[in-house]
Amino acid sequence: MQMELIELDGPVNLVRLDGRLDAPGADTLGMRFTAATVAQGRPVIVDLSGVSFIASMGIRLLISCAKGAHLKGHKFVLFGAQPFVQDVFEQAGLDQILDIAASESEALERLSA
Amino acid sequence: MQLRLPADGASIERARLAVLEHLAAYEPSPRLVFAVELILEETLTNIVRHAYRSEGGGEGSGGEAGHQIDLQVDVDAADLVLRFGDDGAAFDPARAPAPQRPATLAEAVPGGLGVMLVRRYARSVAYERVGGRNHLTVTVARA
Repeated sequence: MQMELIELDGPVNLVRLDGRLDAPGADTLGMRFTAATVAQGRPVIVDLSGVSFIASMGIRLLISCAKGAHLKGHKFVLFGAQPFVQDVFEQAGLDQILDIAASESEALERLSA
Repeated sequence: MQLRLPADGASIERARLAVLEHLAAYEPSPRLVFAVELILEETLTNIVRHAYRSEGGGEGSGGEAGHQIDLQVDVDAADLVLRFGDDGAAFDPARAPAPQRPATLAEAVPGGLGVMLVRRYARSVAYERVGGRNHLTVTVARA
């Protein structure tokens, strides 16, 4: 699991993930992802288009960071989920509680909503 | 196809690759591959992390203590059947409290998601405790 952090104007953090969000993937990502999406205190959009697989440990990490961002008062928006990953979100009811956009531009729009 | 693996984290990836290789001959749909990977990940992770906790080695120590997991995969025209066997603490996923789908972010709790996802992606899940072993049978529709 790879992570790339890009700073956009705002400043806004764009985090791109690439790989499998299984238990080892979530573990590898853990602190860097939390730092980029929560600790820095910036609104963040997360590009999931490179994530080919997700399971409960990956979901836990996303939920935990979404909660952390909420507590810190900034937005955390996911976008670009592949169809099977989106399906998992829907099966787990996450589409109702996480901010999930269809595209990068829509994710950016949600930051200013 | 039958496998016997040490109950440790490394076995999860080994099992995944072995099952996918076996499955390839049946030309599985991408959806089936995803469902099988998810079920393997969640079920094996649960066994590795939780089944041997009471032995005092802590979470995930089953492999070191020599515990092994049996995995059998059978494919017929309609279904794929995954059978898991382990000698860890009794755990019937049907009796595990099902997490309610959270209405708000604040309500989202970390536990139970794996069991729920297995149920949703499987056609059926059956559990038996026989001779000190957990036997879990997960049937996945091929179509």
